[in-house]
Amino acid sequence: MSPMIRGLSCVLLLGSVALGGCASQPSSEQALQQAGDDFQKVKEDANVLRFAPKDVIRAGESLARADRLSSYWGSGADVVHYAYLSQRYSAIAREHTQQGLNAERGTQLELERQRLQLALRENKLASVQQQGKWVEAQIASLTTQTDRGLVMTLGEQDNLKLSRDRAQSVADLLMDLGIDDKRIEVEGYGDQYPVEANASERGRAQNRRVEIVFSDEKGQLGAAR
Amino acid sequence: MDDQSYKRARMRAEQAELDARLAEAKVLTGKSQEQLNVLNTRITRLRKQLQLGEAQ
Repeated sequence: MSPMIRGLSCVLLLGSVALGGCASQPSSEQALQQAGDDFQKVKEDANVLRFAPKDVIRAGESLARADRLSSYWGSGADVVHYAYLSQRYSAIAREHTQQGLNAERGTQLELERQRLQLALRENKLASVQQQGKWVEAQIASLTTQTDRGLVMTLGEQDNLKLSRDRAQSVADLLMDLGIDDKRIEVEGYGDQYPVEANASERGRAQNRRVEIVFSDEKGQLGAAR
Repeated sequence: MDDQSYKRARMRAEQAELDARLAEAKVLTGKSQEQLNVLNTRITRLRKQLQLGEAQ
């Protein structure tokens, strides 16, 4: 039956061209062309075939349908519709592929992170003594970087940010050593709650501190500051 | 509704479904990218800590 209908549609098409062309015909051709280009790109991508074969198949099926319909006169809207679906499937295939690639890369990076974390633990926690020295050095670097040799006038906001950054760097260190970041909350209190007068360098140094507060077994902290 | 309206409604529903699925996939891609960024940040920090340790 196909040759007969096709013959008929050709005649009708010629007729419509003679009459000035069907309005939807050029746009349906464009849609078909674009969908075909998109499908070609995903089909040639080995990663897409690896991660999203089903999406590629659906994109191909919709495209074939649009292509078949394009040989019938008056089916412009259907051609545009199936070309649209095909393009969507191609786009979805690309997204799924990127997700798969990201997951693969994530697995690699996670192994690398664990390896580095172990190395850091070995290096830094070999002896308790060494650990103590290292933490001291970390804290010293935190304070000297900002304060040494400088006359600093800090507003309330600066103090808040500094204290938060200081607490965050300790939290970062704990996370690097393997503590789940969901277990850590960071708060900055600025110049509130001094333990010593800020008049002397010694007093200020003692106020530049990070307190680590442990929750009870229900996960509740003692009274907040 | 006549047949044409039903057909148009079905087409719009089909298109809307794929629009939604694409949007969902994009969100998930974004999230997986974010996770990679977090991992990369952590690895950079760990490397820095290891270098600091070796320098001491």
